[in-house]
Amino acid sequence: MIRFTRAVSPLVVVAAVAGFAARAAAQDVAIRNATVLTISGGTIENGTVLVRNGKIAAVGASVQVPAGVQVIDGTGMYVMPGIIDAHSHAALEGGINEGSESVTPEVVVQLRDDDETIYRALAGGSTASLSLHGSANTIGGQGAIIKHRWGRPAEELVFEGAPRIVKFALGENVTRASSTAADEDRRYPKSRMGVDQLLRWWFTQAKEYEQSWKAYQEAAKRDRTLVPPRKDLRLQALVDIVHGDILVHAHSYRADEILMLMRVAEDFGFRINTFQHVLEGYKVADELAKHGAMASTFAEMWAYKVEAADAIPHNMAIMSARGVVVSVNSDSGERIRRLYQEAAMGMKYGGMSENDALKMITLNPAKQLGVADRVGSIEVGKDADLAIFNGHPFAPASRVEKTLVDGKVLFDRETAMTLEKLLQSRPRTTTEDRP
Amino acid sequence: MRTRGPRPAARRAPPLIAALLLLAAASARAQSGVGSAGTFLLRGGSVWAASGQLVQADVLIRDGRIAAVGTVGPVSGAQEIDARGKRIYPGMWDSFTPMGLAEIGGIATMNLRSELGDYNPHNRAIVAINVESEMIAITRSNGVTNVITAPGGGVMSGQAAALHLAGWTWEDMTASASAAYVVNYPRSGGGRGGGFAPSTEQQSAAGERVARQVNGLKEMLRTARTYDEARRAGSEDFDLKLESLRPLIRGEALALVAADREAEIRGAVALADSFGLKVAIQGGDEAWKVAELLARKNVPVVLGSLQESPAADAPYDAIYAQPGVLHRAGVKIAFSTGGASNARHVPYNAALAVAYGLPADAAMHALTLWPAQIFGVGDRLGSVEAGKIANLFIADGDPLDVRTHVSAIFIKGRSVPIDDRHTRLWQKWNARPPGGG
Amino acid sequence: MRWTRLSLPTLAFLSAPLAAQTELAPPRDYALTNVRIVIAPGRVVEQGTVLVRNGRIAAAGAAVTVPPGVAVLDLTGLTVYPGLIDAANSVGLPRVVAEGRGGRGAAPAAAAAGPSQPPPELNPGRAAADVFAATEGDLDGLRSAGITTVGLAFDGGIFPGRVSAVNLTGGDVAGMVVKSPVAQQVALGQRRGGYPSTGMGAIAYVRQSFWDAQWDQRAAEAFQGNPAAAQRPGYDPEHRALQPAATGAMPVWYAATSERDLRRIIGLAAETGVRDYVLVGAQEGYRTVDALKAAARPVIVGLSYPGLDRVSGRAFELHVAPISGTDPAGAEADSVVARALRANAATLAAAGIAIAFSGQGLTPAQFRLGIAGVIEAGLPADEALRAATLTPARLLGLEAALGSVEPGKLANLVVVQGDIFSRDAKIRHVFIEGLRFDIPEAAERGAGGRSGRGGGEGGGAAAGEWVGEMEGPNGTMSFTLTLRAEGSALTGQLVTEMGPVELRGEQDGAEVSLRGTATPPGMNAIEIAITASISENQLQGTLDAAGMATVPFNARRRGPGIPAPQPSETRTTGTGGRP
Repeated sequence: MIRFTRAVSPLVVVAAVAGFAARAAAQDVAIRNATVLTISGGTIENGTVLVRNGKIAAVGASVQVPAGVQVIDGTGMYVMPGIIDAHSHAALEGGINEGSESVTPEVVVQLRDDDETIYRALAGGSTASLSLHGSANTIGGQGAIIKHRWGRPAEELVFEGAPRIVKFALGENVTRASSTAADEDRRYPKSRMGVDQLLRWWFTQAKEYEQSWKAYQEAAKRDRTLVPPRKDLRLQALVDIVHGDILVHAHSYRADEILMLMRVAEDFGFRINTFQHVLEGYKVADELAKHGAMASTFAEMWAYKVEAADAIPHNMAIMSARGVVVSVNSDSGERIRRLYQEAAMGMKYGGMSENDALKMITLNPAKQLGVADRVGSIEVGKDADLAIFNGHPFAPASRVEKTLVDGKVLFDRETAMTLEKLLQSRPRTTTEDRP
Repeated sequence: MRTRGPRPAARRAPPLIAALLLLAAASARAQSGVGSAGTFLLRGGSVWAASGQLVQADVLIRDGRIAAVGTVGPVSGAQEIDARGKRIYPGMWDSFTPMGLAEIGGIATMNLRSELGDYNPHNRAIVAINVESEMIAITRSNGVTNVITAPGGGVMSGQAAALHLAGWTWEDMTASASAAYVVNYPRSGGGRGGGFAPSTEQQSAAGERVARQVNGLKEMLRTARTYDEARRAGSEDFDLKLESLRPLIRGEALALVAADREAEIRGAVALADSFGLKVAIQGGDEAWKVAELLARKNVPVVLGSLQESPAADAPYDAIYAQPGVLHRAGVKIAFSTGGASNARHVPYNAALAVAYGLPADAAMHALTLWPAQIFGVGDRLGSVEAGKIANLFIADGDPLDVRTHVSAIFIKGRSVPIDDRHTRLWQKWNARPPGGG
Repeated sequence: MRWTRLSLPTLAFLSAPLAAQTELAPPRDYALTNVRIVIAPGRVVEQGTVLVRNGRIAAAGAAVTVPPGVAVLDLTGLTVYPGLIDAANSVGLPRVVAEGRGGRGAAPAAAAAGPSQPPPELNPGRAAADVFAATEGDLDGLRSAGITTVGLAFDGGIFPGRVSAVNLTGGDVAGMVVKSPVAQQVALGQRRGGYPSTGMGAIAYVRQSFWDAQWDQRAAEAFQGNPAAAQRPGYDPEHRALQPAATGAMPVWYAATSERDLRRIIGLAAETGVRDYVLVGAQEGYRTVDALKAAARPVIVGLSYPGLDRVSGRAFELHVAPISGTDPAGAEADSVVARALRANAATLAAAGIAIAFSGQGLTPAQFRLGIAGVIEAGLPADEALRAATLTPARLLGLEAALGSVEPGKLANLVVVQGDIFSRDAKIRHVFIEGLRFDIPEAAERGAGGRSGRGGGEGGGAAAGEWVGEMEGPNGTMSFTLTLRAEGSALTGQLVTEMGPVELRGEQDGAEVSLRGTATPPGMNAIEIAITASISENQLQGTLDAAGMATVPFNARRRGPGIPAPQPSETRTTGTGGRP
């Protein structure tokens, strides 16, 4: 039995399974003789991926593996970059929605390290994700980009060097469209029009806040006794958004609200980094491309609410064809386990190419999270975040056999608890008929 | 000058009106989607036979039926369809949906799927099917030609129907008007992993409710048996509900019992034993724990959607691997998504099961022949065999593979165009001139 | 507030119960003779006398002259200790929850607050002493466990108020308060009815509030100094109340249980410039010893432990463990976690962290026995005594007045037969500021030894049948609890109107813990945890349901010929009150 405890104390019993501990320490590994889907450099048959110190050291058909490096036999296997989910709420505690007020960018999500969703995501080939604030607020809180370093404490889940990201939301969730409460008990805004004006009001406040600080800094050069303006975390976060120091990911459905948000951003001098869900993105694909916004969407979800009535699975293909960087996400602890199936729908609906479809769960979400220099493709120098399947990820009988993060095998079907093994270990009597 | 504008609509109406307008706009085109009858000769394709093998064969469709499978000579008046390099499969089934009964989520008036009261065995889903539901065309476009559409709510929700997903009226769409009696075995809680623990107030109230319901169910069945005996003896006392239960209590009709936990499943089987009912389990999350019992009693399982997370302390692949476990134990299974909006993707549920241990041919059977058999229409649906109703589709690969494209659909022997709300929106917006014009 | 010497008449006037003012004031002069004196940890006088005059310790040692007229108590065979201090407990304080809040989706409630009244979760100016209202039963229970002083601290909220220190003399509250305020309380609680409503919102809110408090002060000073030139500042009572804490003039007590919350709080303290702070609770401190060591702040360790399946990191064991023949989430894993939890205080002390104890969420008996458990887990007995006396006295700002049996200090003493933290100990008398309280035997009798070593004179074994009542969803409901023991492992069943629950757990001396899963038909399974202590034929503790509701759990042994304990007739203690 394994305990992952930060404190090694003589008073605490700590036991470790030798095999797992050894593998956890190894950051040098080679996967040999597999079909390598590099994403950025084509597909390599009978390829080898060599990992040193957690980074990809070499990729190719004739890579020499130094002695002493643990080898994983990839015969018949497919290796792809670890899947990246650009919309998750896993591994959070202390709330997902600070819904008491509609604008709360000063709030930051809190991570927890022991959410089994992370382990199950690894079992589905996913190695990193953006864990977001919910969609209850026009401007919600800041999220966390994490690597699925299962077994490490919460602070180590954070994807070091990744940018700050804040969640905006539009539409029915924010306006609480299904609420039956009386007007005086409703939170402002309750219409899409109100959302537009609320944004403008707050960014105007932020502009004034920034100006008051600039004025103070000028005046303080002459008079050191001046009291500075009150430091306001909320307005400071909005200022950071305007300056692009915090990237905006905006939950959105309808074409009109997508357009509205881009214009608000442009009016205040910043850009929306990524629209999330963006189920009507296909109607404003050119506008998205021109603004420079990226899109992270669902493959098959529609009809679950009115603003999703016009969603079509061809959304991904249309936006992609028009130059938008598109990813497909989960927004669910369940779907994060099978994003490879979702990405394949880009090929089915709208005829995306295989590599473009694979990009939707690798390089494209990496770009949307601002970590494309580190992950998203199998290239020398990038992190060894890899998923090993027993067949092509889009083929129906495929499943993940092993998943590596920073070169460490953190999921291995051979040692994982599976239904089959559970059944074998159960005494027979419990499955027999009882009177 | 004062302008008069329209009076603002009632608070709740606008979303409904908007939705109806959106859907109505498409309805004119939808009517052409019912398909055209005729004689069709599908030449040179590989037919997925009931044996589970792909066999080179031509398929002749005439008068709504599969007239011949094999080498077929030229047939006068037949429209020839080139199926070389393609495969021909029996139409697939989603074995538990609210198809035609539910539309946009969150709009109450679009989801009239359940009736008041706990016992409505006489309610028949078939009469309430909205033929214009967008979901119907969207579903069949991926080769899912048949669904079980079921009412919900209460303990006995009513009679589920087996539908053909093309037709002018619900009569035209009926494959079986009364395919099963839907029973919700009194259950503890929300089912699968997730959801909040209820307050202590809710617990106690629920505990009483469940005990009451189990007894009520047994009482209802006892009453139904007494009534049936009396009626057979010549009694003229007529009761609508009890009359509707007669096929069930006589063991002729199927009870589709929603049960997830081991205790619920055992309870359902015991109930079937004591009343001599024919029963199938719907959902069956913990069916793997009682696989041998189910196999021995010939109780099939209509699996719930595989797109769910197992409980926190269950193996990570429990839900994916269960179909394989049940199949190996000898339990007949079928797949369902539980919804109407993605019934089209029920084969991808099956794909997950194959990845985690279900043989591929069993998966295909669980999508075609076995649901047809479970719901009593196996003699006329579920495989590409001469004499059966011509429900089939042509695809460029394995239907379990997401990348496969369906190129033609036949329902009741009609060639149904692949034309639905999604393909229309795609065509419209794909044709938008680039550059924001 | 510094302790000031008061003359006898003033002291008597202040501390005498109102009714007693019309009678003779009770005596506060005693000589405790022939007694073993534990003056402080590591300083013991085997046989000596403690002289109490005017409610103070006048002398304590081997050769003390007893003046005439002082009542003499011959305590041969007994030991006198400094009175125990429960450093953080919300006994007698209102719950930190807004009244009358609606269900989900309802409008933000006005709460018990009107427009001028702050909500209970955001009320930093409120001192615990201002709203303290414990019953005599509460106080009896505390005293019968040897507790003489309590650090009154609100449970929950974000800025629920300020800590006050009280001596448990009873009667008029004003007479009990020794120091108020002691510290500013901060916690990362949730609330409804406005911002912040989540833990993550609370952190942002606390951060902003401390900065605002500092800024308000600075702005007010600038205005005072130069009204003509400076901006006229506003007035925010919440910021005003936080100013002493924000500017270092008052210590801050941060409450946090989980390892991650502890690290967050430490980071928050650094960010807001708060240096003088204490951590309260820290039940998972053992999982983050390095961070606590680096912070080098004292910790008031909660002895009430979270349910085993809610301890951080448990999911690792479920999903990474190798396949075994048994349920991976089994008893073995749980017992390792349980041992680590109970050893928490010992782990922290071994790392050099100054600790005190908090009985929040426990009965007084469980508090004392919880300390016994920590000693068994490795904390040296002297360290335990320090953590229950001198260290909490210091944290309450009362090191000159409490915590040891030394001349000049207030006469807060506990007289014990046996070692004070032994499970067999019998507490005989308690003195609080010289007021004497006798503890009758039935209520505070430790369990007859550990189970598995023979139940002793009975009353100590958890096995058997118990009956009782507890708060259920429909009001009070009765239950029966049937337990079987195998060594120290227990299995059994709890039956209520909602059905039976299979339980398993263990008995550790007088401490019983049980776990099970209730599956009330119609609802999700609910994890149940019962923590209770056995005292003769009583099983008293708490029942926790799914971490969401905690109700008192009181059972009596069922069986012929074993009568229920009778309520005591003296004014001293009842059947063991609960906080």
